[in-house]
This record gives sequence, structure tokens and C-alpha cells, in this order.
Amino acid sequence: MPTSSIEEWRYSEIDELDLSKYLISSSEAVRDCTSALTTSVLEANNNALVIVTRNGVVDPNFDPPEGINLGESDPEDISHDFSGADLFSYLNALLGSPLSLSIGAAYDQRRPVVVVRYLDSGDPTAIFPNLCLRLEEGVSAQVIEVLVSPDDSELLAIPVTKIFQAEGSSLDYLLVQDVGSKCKMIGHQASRLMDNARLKSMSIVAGGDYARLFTTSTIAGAGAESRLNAAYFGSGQQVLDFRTLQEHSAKNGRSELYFKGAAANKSHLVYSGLIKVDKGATSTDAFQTNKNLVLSEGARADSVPNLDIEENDVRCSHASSVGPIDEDQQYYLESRGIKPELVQRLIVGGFFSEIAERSAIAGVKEALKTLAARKWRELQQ
Amino acid sequence: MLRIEDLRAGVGSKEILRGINLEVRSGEVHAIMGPNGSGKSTLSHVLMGKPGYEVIGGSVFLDDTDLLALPAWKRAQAGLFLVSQYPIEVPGVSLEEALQAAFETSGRNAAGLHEEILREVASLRFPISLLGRSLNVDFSGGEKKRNEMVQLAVLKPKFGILDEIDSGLDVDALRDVSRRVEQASNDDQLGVLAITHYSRLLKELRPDRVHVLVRGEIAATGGPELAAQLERTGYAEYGVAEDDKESVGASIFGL
Repeated sequence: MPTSSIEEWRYSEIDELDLSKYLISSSEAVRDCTSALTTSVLEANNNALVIVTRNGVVDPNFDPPEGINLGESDPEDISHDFSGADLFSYLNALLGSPLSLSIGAAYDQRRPVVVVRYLDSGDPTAIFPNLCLRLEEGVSAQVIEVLVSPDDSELLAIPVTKIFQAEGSSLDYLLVQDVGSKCKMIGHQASRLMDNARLKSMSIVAGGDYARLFTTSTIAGAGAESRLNAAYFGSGQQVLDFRTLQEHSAKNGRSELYFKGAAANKSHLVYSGLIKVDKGATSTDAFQTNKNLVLSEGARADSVPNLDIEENDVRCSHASSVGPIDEDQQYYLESRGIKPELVQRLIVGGFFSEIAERSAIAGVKEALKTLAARKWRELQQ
Repeated sequence: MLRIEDLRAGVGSKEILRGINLEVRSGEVHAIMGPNGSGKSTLSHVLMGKPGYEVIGGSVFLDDTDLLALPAWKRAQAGLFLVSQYPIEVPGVSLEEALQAAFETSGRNAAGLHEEILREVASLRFPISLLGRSLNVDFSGGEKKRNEMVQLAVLKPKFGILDEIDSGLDVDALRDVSRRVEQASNDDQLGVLAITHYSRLLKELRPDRVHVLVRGEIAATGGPELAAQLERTGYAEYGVAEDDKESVGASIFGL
């Protein structure tokens, strides 16, 4: 087991995690639960192809349409070693029920694909959802992954999503994580982009007691472009922990990361990210931005951006900020006659709606409004 | 009516306003002119209630409301509006959302708000494409000031302070903004205090009274002819050394 004394787990709650208390999951008696947040996304995409999994197991009645290939084993390309594999992704590979989803040119690309993952168990249980998503050459698709669990369900969820994008493919990806307050999550989302592939990813993280998400994206082919976005809002005693790796191993690539978080009550946000440019990845553009709003005295955010550049011909930058609501913004809006509580709600709502514009998937803006309103209510309590 | 009596204020222990007396009636336009460092911006901030400024003495009444006893948002609710010299960028918040929140605070009916915004946007020639965008983010200097005026026109305050509204404005924008201020002062009896360094604003805005602010005090008061005189002589007769670049008549936009 790793400990918080190593950098990758610094600020995390890994030391408090007792693996031995969790059973290995089964898919029986899983309750399908929803939240206002997940519903807002599902309703905005009501034309979508919906694939339901329960504790990682695909609904046996699901019948894939033309152009969609469902399988249980890794297609060969996906077995490539994705960057950043750790103990938990190995546990997932060992104990999870892999779902491989391949989207080909025959699929109706106007129809988003939604993978809903219901997680649930009566006893403390470990669940290992796994998705290997492959976009074939030149295919464009929208894929939405929803992770949700009932509030009373005591879970350790270790989800892994691997995205493989063949040459010239284009993916809009959305993760909506709204698991219950007794769920601990250690998740990994990894993408690997071949020549001229485009990824636009958005992760909305709302739930969990301790929720960690490790996002890695590898520019493996020339001219590929990866845009990684995340919006998260901590409340109560939540610890929301984000680690990122933008790896450039091919030339002319671009990666742009934008993660925004707000911390209310006694919540704690962690961001630690690395841009890694390998030798030979010339003409790389790589940017990393992390912004944190700290809304309560007991709340906290740590932000640690890093660069590791082994090539000269690159443009890289990182920026991070941690702080309360900007005083000038607050005063400016108050001077229009808006009462202070309402001003704060506007600014926090604006903080998230600004990032919503970076996703082309329907319902993202509404979802972030729903998230901000819900957390705002918790802040007022 | 806005009534300022013996207003003394500053930042920290430094007294910047040293006893200001001023009365502006509804429907009147008054200008305050002064060289850099005379306390013009401090006056606008102290009137609006910006945190960080300390009132040492005196009083400010808007009709019967004691403004100095109120926080900024309540001063605005009482009918005061500051057209800010440097409107602040608020990412993710649109003009309409902000105005809606202001209506919500005062309990005003927001039905018809959207149409009213569209009317004012047209009359002030604010680019309609910017309406859905974040307040002031990536707006040009002129767009920011037109945007401020749209807010003033929709909120319909009793009294407007225009803080260096001519900075960053080209001639067309200056004219549009001045026409709208004039209209509000005629139709809605808006009282106006226009604070400026340069006389060129006053050719468009045509004030009823002009006051000269020097070292935190009103050094002279007169009609529009006072502005014309200042354009010829500068602030030198008030004992202020004038830098060429900052002569009263200078037309360097944005400076």
C-alpha cells in the first residue's frame, strides 16, 4: 500500500484506508439511484444510447446497435500500457468486470453514448468498474459516463476508464460523479491519442467522502490535441483529490488542462499535476491551470503544478490560484444593489458556468448550475 | 437631492477629502474637475462605500437617506449608482443575471427586464453579441462604459456618479453616453455628479455647475464657463504644477 509520505499521495487520505474491511462486489440487488445532477445530464441527452451497468456488470438485456461493439476483453490497442498505472488500477484489472466499448464509423454519431454505472451494496464493498473505450479511425463521438450510488451505501469504488483514440478521431467525453457520502473513490481516467486525434474531456465531481481522480492523457501521435477540464465543489468534510499527467511523446501535440474547484464548509481540495514532455516531442504546446475558490474558513485547497520538460522546442505553462471570492468583484456587484449573499452565489455560479463553455455536451451548464445550487444550500446550513 | 456636508475621508491615517460641501438637486448635472491626486476618485468611492476608505467626519444624504450609515449595496438600493472608472470583470456572470439579482434584492418585478435591456442596448449601441458574455470580460474600454450606462438606464437610480467616464472612450461613445445621461436627467430627474480631469467630457455633457477639486477641497464653483476657463489656464492658478501631458484640454483617449 502507498502512504501519504510519497508525493503522489501527499495530502490524500490513503493512510486511513483499510482495504480489509471491504468485500468484493456482486451485481445483485443494486438499487438504481439518481440525483438532480445526474438527471439534468441524462434529460439533456434523452436521445442517447444508454448502457446501464450495475456494480460494473452490463445489463444483460442491452442490445448494441450498429457500429457499437461491446466486449469483455481488452481490444489489443487498449492493452497498451497507459501512463500512471498504480496499485489501484492493477486491482481493477485483476478484480473488475471489464467493459470494452468500441465505436465505429457505422454508428450514428449524432447520438451520444451514455454509460450509467449504478454502484451499491448492503455491506462495505469494493467495486471495480472498468471501461475501455475505443474510437476507430476518423470517428467522432460523444460519450458520457455517470457514476452514482445511494447515500447510505458504504463503498470503496475503484473505477478505471481507458480511452483509446485512433488516428483522426474526435471525442467529447463527460464524467459525472455523484456517488453517496459514504463512498470512497479512487479513480483513474486515462486517454491515449494517436495522430491528429482530438479529445475534449469534462469531469464534474460532486460526491464521495474521499474522492480521488487521477487523469492522464498521452499525446502518442503527432498533431493530437487533448483538452482536459474538471469542475468540482467540496462541502461538509469531503476531500476531493485530483492528480493529473499530461504526457507528450509525439511532436506537434497540444494539451490544455483547466481544473476549477470550490471548497465550502470543512472540505479539502487537492490538485497536483504534471506536464511531461518526452525527448522528441518537438513543437509541443502544453498548458495547465488550476483555480480554487475557498468559501469557508474551515475549508482548504492545496495546488501543486509541475513541469518536466526534456525537449527545447516547446511552449508550456502552468498557473494556479487558491483564494476567497475576489473583493473587487464582490464590491462591483454590490454597488449595483445586489445583496452580499446573492453576489457570492452569482460569483460562484459564474466561476463554474465559465468552464461549462469548454464542453460541447448538452446539459453541462445546467448540471454545473445544479451542483452549485446544491452545494450553496449546504454552505448556508 | 444629494447633499454632502463637510465630508472628510481618507485611506488609513491619510486624510484625502478635507471638508467637501456640495448640493446636487434632482435633474441637475454637476461636474467635479480636478488634477490628478486631488481626491476625485476617493470622493466617488467614499460616496459609494467602497471598503478600505475611512470616513473621518461629515455627512452624505440622498434625499432623507443617510448614505454613510449604509453598506454599498444598500446605498445602491437607496438610489445611488456609480459608473465605475474601471468596471470589474466578473467571469461567468452576464449582464442580465446581474440586473436580475439587483431586481430580486429590491423586490422589483423582473418581468420585461429582458426587453428593457434590449432597448437600452440598442439606444446605447452596446454590441448585442456581448450580452450573453461574462460582464466586462474582453470588453474594450468603450464597451465597458456603454455597458455601465445600460445598467444605469435599466436600474433607474435617483443619482449617478460618473467616475472619469471619458477615460477610454472615443468621441462617438462619449456622445452616446452623454446623450443617455442627459435623457435620464431630463426624463427621470436623474441627479448627476460627473468627475473628470478633462474638459472635453463637459462639451458633450453640458453641466449646470462646475466645481474644481484641489487637494481634497472644493476650490472654486461656477457655471459651464469655469470649465472653459480651466481649459485655457489649466490648474496652475490653483497652485498645481501641470504636466504637459495632463493639460485639461488633452484629448489623449484613455489617459
